[in-house]
Amino acid sequence: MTAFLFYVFAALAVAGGLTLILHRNPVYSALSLIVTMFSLAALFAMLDAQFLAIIQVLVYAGAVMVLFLFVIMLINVRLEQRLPQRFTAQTAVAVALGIILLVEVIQIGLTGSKMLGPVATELSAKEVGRVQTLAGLLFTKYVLPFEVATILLLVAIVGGIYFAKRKLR
Amino acid sequence: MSPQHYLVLAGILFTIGVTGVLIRKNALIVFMSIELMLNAVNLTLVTFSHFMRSPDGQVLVFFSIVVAAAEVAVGLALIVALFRLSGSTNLDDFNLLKW
Repeated sequence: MTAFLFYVFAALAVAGGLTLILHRNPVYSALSLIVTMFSLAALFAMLDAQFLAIIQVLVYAGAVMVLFLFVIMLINVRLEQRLPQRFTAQTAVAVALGIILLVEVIQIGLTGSKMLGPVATELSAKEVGRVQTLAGLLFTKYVLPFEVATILLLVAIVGGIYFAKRKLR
Repeated sequence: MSPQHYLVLAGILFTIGVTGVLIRKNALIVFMSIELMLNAVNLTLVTFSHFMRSPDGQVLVFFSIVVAAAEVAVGLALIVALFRLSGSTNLDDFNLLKW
């Protein structure tokens, strides 16, 4: 059952990614990226990372992709469709490089179990991804990065407003 | 499922993202491909975190999601500003810095 679910969600994720880069309409690209995000959330849940699965749906599939769709509809739905999609030399080189990278990355992935370190804690698999465990780490060991992240978010808010409002010309 | 399955899937998704950045001209699609690459790396981190029983990897993914959200906000604002300036999101039109 686990294997079946893995293959279903893996196929959905890969299909979403391929549609993202191949479809000519940016709205469909954004929607297929949402499919990929949801599949990855399901895979996170299968890896006992419940908290991250929920965060993935809330932040990525929710907030980030809504922002993307908003900007796409603000800017250029009709504009993109008129552009000719030509098969140039750049495309050929890019696909060749992509295939080389794919072979390399799959090689590395297949030797992945050798990169696994020893089991680090006495936690069981179910306990690792729980909110309690992550929050405990977040507010003790990683409290400085946590505070820095708040400043980063503030900078992002200010920067976003600045760039969107200013008359650049 | 073994870690290899998840790592190979993450590798495939990362490669799709790289290819998307290389072949597409639309700035928004390129940006979404970068998001896809970020997600593939997140999957790798969660995989190792699960199989090593170490929650630190998931904390790192949490921070990576925070940074990605901030990056999307600023990046999309930049794309909107570029569109206002030049009336296009085609990356080939932005050649002001070309020597």
